[in-house]
Amino acid sequence: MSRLSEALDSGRFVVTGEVGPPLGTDTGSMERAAAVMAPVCTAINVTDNQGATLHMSSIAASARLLAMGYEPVFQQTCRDRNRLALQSDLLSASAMGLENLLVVTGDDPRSGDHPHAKGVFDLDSTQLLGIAAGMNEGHDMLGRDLDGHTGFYLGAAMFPEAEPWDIQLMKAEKKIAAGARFFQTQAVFDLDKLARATEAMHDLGAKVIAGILLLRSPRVVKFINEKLAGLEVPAYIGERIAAAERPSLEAVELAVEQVTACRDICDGVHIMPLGLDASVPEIVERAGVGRG
Amino acid sequence: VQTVAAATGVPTLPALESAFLGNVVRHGVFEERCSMCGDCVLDATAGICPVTTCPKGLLNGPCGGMWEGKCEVLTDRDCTFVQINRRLVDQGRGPASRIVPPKDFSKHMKPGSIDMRHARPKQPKGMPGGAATAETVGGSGDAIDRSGCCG
Repeated sequence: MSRLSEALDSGRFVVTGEVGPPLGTDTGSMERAAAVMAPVCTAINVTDNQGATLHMSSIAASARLLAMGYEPVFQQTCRDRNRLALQSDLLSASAMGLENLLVVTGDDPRSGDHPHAKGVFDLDSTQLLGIAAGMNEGHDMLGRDLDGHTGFYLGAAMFPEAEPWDIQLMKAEKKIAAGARFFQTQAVFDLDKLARATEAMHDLGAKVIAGILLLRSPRVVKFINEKLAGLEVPAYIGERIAAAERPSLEAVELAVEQVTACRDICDGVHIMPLGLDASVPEIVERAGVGRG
Repeated sequence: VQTVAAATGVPTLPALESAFLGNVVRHGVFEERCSMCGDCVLDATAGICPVTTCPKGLLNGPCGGMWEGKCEVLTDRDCTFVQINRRLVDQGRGPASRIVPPKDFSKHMKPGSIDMRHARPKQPKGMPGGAATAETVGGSGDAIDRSGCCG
């Protein structure tokens, strides 16, 4: 059983981190990033061709983390594989011992490094969650019995700040109905909106892990605002980072404040370090949410 | 191009790219609103096709890229699901909370082929052939309703 599900079910505030697999075959820098974060994280997400850019597969990189003794959250997007490949990968992932699955739609190929690629989107994230839930019960999407079922703790993405909220809520409710047990959110800056989302998800029995971005420089803020879909750093935060004498230290201060505030609102935080991997333990410890 | 090439045997070159089936917005302005997928969902989506107008062809709601109601890919346009939901609510039918199952892409015939001549029921001798109806379209395989106007 996954540590992440045990921790969330027992009501412990969790911390999840995130690493990106390499563009290449050398997993060294990913392993070093994971090793820095692992002591304070319940699990570490492994992204799947993040930003529609080419990387080693999440399944292989997740298996690498597992072999190192860490608990990965295997991410799967619907962009690069059809229903045959997606189901096949779910079987493979489970057979390799991966227990946490985060299903997302995936960025459009036109926003990535292979803009001429065909986006697959044979299934959407809600449908894939439903299929994964079926595989946990022992059957494929056609209802055929599996020779050995999967055992995934099913997660999905949520976007507390993206308006209009009513259709965000509708989609999140569908994801729960399809089988999602926990959500990891896009980066959150507005705590009132986080509280609104958490309350709605708790009513439906799902856990909420709030996304925290480490904004180490004004350049990172600019990159997020220009390149990352569905996300905008509020002006007052951007100005605070820009005005700081040492932006990376200010980013840590900001994150400590955010994580501390999240303790009273939701079930955990998902820290996306964007290069500040080494600061994650400090943030977690100062916010008083380390693995006890 | 293909018809002329097959009929004449003369080297025949395309002089334009066939981009999509265009709905006429106004003279000289076209929009793709139907991708002729053969598995229509417009009954449940207030007459707005997510298969075509959502760049990812999603069926169950917006992706994570929606921001302030706008599409992540076509950033000057409202997200398809914002448009659908708005119209469903206006019509007293919304919001669309039912999970839409995976789409049947086998119905998107490639290459497409419909034989209305051989699917047509026998006419009494001497009667002129009637217009094809939905029931007569599709040949010997699954009946495919291509009789209506595209979305």
